[in-house]
Amino acid sequence: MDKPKKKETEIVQWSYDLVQNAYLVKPEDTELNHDIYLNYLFPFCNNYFGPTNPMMIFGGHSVKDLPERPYITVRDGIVPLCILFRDLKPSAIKGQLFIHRDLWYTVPEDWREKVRFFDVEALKTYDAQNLPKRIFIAGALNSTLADPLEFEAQVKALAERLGKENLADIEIMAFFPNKRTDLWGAWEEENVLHYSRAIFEHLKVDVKTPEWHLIHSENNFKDCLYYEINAGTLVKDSYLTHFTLSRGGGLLAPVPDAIDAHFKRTSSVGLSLYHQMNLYELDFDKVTPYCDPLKGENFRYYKKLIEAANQKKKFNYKWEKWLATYLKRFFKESRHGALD
Amino acid sequence: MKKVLVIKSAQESPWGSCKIISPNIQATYDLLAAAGDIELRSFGFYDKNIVDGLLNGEDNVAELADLLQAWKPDLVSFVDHLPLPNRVLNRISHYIPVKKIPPVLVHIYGDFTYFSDDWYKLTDQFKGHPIKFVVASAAQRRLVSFFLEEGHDQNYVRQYLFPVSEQDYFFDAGARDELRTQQEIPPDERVILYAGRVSLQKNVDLLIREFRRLSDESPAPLRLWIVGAFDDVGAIFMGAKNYEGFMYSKIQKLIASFPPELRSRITLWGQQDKGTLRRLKAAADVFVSLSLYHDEDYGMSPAEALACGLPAVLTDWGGYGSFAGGDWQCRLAPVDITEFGHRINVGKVREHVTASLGAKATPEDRQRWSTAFRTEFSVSGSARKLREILAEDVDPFLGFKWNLNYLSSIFWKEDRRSRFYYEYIGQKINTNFNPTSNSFYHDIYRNYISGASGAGTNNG
Repeated sequence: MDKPKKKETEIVQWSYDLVQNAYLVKPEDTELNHDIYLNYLFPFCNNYFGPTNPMMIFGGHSVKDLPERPYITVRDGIVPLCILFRDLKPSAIKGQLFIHRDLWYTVPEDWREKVRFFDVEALKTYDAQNLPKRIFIAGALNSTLADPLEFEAQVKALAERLGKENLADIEIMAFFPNKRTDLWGAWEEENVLHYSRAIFEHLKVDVKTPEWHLIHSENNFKDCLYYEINAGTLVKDSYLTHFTLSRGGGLLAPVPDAIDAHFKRTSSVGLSLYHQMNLYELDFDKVTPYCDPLKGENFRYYKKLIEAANQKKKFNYKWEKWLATYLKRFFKESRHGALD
Repeated sequence: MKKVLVIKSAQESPWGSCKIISPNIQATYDLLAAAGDIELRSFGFYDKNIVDGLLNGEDNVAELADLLQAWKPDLVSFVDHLPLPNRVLNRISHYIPVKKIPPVLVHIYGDFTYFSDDWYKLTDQFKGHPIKFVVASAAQRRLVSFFLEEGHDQNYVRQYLFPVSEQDYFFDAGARDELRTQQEIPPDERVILYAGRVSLQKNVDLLIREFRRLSDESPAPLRLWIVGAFDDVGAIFMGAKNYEGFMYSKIQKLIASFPPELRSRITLWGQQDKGTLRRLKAAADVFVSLSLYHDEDYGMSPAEALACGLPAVLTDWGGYGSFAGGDWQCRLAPVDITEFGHRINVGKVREHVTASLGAKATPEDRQRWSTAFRTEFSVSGSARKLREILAEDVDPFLGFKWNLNYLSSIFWKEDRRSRFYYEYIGQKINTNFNPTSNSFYHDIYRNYISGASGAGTNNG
């Protein structure tokens, strides 16, 4: 039998690639709140592409046929995730949800079958024995991503990991967009000074602060440590992490934790030549029993939201209500019965 | 002696190839000045909003205006793609009447179409002013001429290549042996190399598929080396911008579908410095690029490969057409634009690659091809051509046609609307600007097909 004839011509049509990149859609009746929310979290909430369907559940748009997908990687932070677990029945999603490993304690018992975990691993890691030539430190100047005190603690921790005496020879580039709208309800102008002082005091004074368009056009982060100050309240899996690691950047070397023993790595997915996403299962029987973060004392961020809501009810109530009702667009079932 | 003021950017270009091109052009000007052909001064223009540039930001135009009035150059030459000459000239005109601004020479880069909005605005203020456009290839000359008003001389747009640095790119026989030994490549094995951004319009996925077909046919074992950073610029003119990480996923998925033995023969090298690039180009046996990039006005990476004496197989697209026909090895594969999209004659690609590999080039061949290419395309080799262009009179610019304004409205709408655009709205195809025949895209980009590959060009 003759071999099939080799193709002599190939049609190139990039529209097909566009379709694959169009899996995130924005509903036509999107509220203004989505724009505010996205602006607030920009660029940390920007989309990236990966085999596990990474998305921001509250990102102002949704994945096509979301409930039907075999797996979804939820990039949102603690608060939206808790609202998702609180207001949705597990049966609303057919596939599996991957959430960040650090947020394991937010998973209620009835969701445990559905939830798997991920973290992001850089091929290149740094510490005091293996110093980077450059540090790219990023975050946002507001108390949603980090309080001034938390911020200072994080900056100090970085200096300690690398050795303050070593920082003089390391170039530092900082990106801290000033998000004046504070979802907790209070923004204090002097916070800018608190944050700035922490950087200058614990790192060094000679810090470059390029604008976003220059950072975004940078394509080489070789020998560069990426360090993000982000409490993960609203966005946990940040675009900037992937942006920097894809271009050769690295992370701080991980510090072993007691919880590690209960996570079983099931697979890894390459996201670039320089970083990957690891996927895990958690042995829930061996970890602390679940405590409803919406009621419990151990969930400081959600507690903070509730406390702030009590003080400035109108503003914060609006956000919580929006996050909760937003789910109605994409899921048919909730704990409170059919949503539609 | 002609007094030439070179205006360059005081900031480093965000665009990888321009970081190489601009210094090489400046080096040629320096060479002419050292030879006493021109009297040269240069000025670093600073613009805070150099990329976004929607509003005039902080700049040092007052300083530039002072220099122009004090030194009185015979010619002002823009050698960088940014800051955009229109913006600089516009700002100078706030200090000096347009009539008193010296004749202008502009080296146009591949982003001419992307910044069409700015170029179109040049007509308003500088129609009638002596301006010379210099482009890097015959294809770009056709494309820019397509937008010029009637009345310009047919040689109004001049051609001067983007020179290759002879210090950085040459055939390095020692590096070839060393790298092949280090990579454990047997003498009979052949290496196909692609170097450049791994971007949607560069069609690296198609190259990988062709590598599989070639491996099936080839008597000698083949390897494929892909050198360069992944980028997700997409095809912005049609509204297709990829999300971060899309190209990596796409390429990995394709490679994962291959048998393990074949997979092991594909190496993704990532971004490399120029020293490593030279070594890789020395160690490889043929350079292949199937790019159909909308900004492919020249092709710095193939030029550097050819300077290393490496045979090249390229699509007949944009500036690539300019590399065919010398005493070096460059073969073109036919391209046309059909109603279904671009069509590449991959049969010819395989035929050319097979011919290039079958010739079994000796080190002496590689050295000869390298010398021949560098004689014409290097900084020193190309200086004569630039000297001629600088010595010519500068004709008045008669303006751009309406169609450039139309093109600018497409880019403005789809790509530069706002930084949040793709995050908010998602992807939407611009149906007016898809790569198909009988479209505005076709009217513009048929100029990128030379027909030198011997195929019909569908120039309609």
